[in-house]
Amino acid sequence: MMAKVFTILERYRYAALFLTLLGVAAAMLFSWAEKPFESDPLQRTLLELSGPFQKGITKGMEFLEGVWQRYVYLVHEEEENRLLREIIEEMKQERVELLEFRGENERLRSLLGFKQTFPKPLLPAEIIGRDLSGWFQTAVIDRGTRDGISEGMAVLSVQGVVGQVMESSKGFSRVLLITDPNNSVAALIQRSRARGIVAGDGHQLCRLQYLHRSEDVKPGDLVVASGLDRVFPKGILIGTVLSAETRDPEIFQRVAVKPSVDFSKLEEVMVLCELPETEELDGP
Amino acid sequence: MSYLIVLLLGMLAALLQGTLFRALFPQSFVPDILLLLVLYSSLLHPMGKGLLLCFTLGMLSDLFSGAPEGLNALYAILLFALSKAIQARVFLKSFQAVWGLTILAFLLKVPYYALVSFLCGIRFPPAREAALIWMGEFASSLLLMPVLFYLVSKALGLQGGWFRQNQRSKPA
Repeated sequence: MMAKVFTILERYRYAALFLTLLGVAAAMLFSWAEKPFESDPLQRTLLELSGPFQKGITKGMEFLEGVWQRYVYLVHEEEENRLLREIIEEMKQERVELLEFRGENERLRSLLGFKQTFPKPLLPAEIIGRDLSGWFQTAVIDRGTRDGISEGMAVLSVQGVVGQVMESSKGFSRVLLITDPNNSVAALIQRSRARGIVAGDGHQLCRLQYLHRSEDVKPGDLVVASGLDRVFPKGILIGTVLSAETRDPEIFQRVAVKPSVDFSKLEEVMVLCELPETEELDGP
Repeated sequence: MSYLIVLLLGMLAALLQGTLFRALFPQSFVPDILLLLVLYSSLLHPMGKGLLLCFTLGMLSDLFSGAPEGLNALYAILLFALSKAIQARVFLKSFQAVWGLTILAFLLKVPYYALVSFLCGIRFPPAREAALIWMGEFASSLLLMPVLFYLVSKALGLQGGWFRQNQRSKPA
């Protein structure tokens, strides 16, 4: 009898393995559906393990870019006069370095200024990695739980709202950007005070949802955080209205919003080190 | 040994895809290297090892991209099974046949995502944006596929042809 069972198991071992793995993957997917974006130890461990490599690659890329800008590119342009070229090269090198320093200085100054004018504690962080594909808009930053970061915290930049921390390991965190369809921010039109919810379109823009067709909104209007979600402080810039369209018989307008943050060039961010206040929402 | 190489390549691909390729390629034109490695594994590895490898590669893709866990792992296993089923009927020797398999993998991704979105409530980008992302990923992956497959074949020490299976002789 046992021999027969073993024979059957041996014969169908691949089918059993296939079904087991299929079941595990499906179970994980459906458990995610129960509690979306809830961080787990596996994700945190991988984030912690891969973080240093991502940081290393990003730093390496910055170094190579610097080498190219400061040496290779400049050397390539010299042909007419060696001496003059060397002088020009040195001056150009210095200029590039100074411009780089000035740019960095300006960015840090604006961050510092933003930090000083902001009433809540902000933690500067650097973006060291992005999502693998375009389907989910996330970024990895070089700060984690040991810096006081936890899931749900708001991530901002000088230009405006960046996103929300979705998972944190000791030294690194993954941020869900506002351009992701799974992210949403309570927002209002600055001019008319019309309220809605900004959600990402998964590409480069956002959409202002649940804005009634009677509300006053025009292209060029500024969209700011309303603070109702208890995550993003009221008044922080989200973006600018690109287009507003009303279609019959839809109740809500279709409003496209261009984020104020250029995510393709974003290097530094600030994490609002204060957990969302949920007590008031939970209260009677 | 080849299992480990493909796994290490997968980890390297995941790291590079989120850093270097993001800087080098235009937005949305980033190839899905992990999916290509899944296809490659389905053609190269036997059932047991191949299944485990594809599941691991899919999980890597989920964990590195911030996607819901299981999303790409499930697709990788299904793709592996489909690829094996095709191989059982079609002798995948030519380059065009492998390219066809890659195209099929990307074509099936759309209904799979739609189904998962419906069943699990995962929000994907709206149709127009999703089409742009998909087309960029599809085109860049198709362009990269021959290079990647050639490199992996070299790394695994395979001589001639694209795959080990192809070196078997046709049944009399």
